[in-house]
Amino acid sequence: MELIETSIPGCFEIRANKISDKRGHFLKLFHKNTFAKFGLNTTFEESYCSTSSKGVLRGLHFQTPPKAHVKLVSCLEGEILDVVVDLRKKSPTYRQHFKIYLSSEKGNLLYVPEGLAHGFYVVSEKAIFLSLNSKAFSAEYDKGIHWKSVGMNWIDDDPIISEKDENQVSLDDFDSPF
Amino acid sequence: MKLNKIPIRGCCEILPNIYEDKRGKFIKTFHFDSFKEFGLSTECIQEYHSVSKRKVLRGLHFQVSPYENIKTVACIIGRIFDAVVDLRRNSGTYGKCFSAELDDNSMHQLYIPPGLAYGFCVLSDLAIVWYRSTKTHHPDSEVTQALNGMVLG
Repeated sequence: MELIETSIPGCFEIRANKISDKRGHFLKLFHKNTFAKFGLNTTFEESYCSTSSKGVLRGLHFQTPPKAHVKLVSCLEGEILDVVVDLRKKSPTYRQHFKIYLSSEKGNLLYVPEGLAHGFYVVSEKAIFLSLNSKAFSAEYDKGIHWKSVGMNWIDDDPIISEKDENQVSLDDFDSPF
Repeated sequence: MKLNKIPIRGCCEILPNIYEDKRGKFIKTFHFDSFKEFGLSTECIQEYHSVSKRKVLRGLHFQVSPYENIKTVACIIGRIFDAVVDLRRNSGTYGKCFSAELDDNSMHQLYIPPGLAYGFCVLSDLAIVWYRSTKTHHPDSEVTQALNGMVLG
């Protein structure tokens, strides 16, 4: 496992070791001791996976304190354009975004600290997305900002999106608690 | 999330809720409070997945003391024939086998306690199998049981 800094403090790309043989391949997504050594969060209360078709955009999501969470996200099948936005007022990269392509081919993951909004856009025909979250889902603290309001070029102006995500507040109108 | 008991003590099937809309599907694969309520282990030391072609057989594997582990597995793409064998001498189902088909349609998970050997065979063109484990991989404690020595059924 290799840890790579991104432009946003506390947010890292993780490159997992992909072991291939005649059967297929094998990939370790999370390993407690390695994460502890890196100084990353090692407890996850919830995990989920989603299946999405090409052109789907899910985001931008986060939970606010006291249910703010760390997310470890990856793409187990296909390819996604993964995006985070820094909502931490004291951060040098406040309001800035970072984008990265995550794919089963590369076997890379993104470690998203508390205080960042997260979303992704599906580039391949189909994508399986997996997320480990340090805190379980809380309807009360589950929040979002509008995908178009963060200055990100999503490579698609008309993605397949839920009504909830289409009605999220803009970054400008969001009073960040972070 | 629901729990299905199976004939082997401590082993069960977990049936997650699947939410579907125009974007695709959404499935909770682990929820701390639900696992706790079911009396299942909430610990996770590592999480990994394998991608395998049709007819690939992985198994039967287990780790021995002190690295015996609890595994939770699901097939998130494709379809697999999943099998466990009870290796606990004091168990009422010692030597018995349980098998189930796991697929990406139902997203059922199999929760496998220590003392069981586990393996699967791929039925679809491709299968992605996701695992959670309560212990790190320990090569010296891992045992592979040759399949041809066992009567499965």
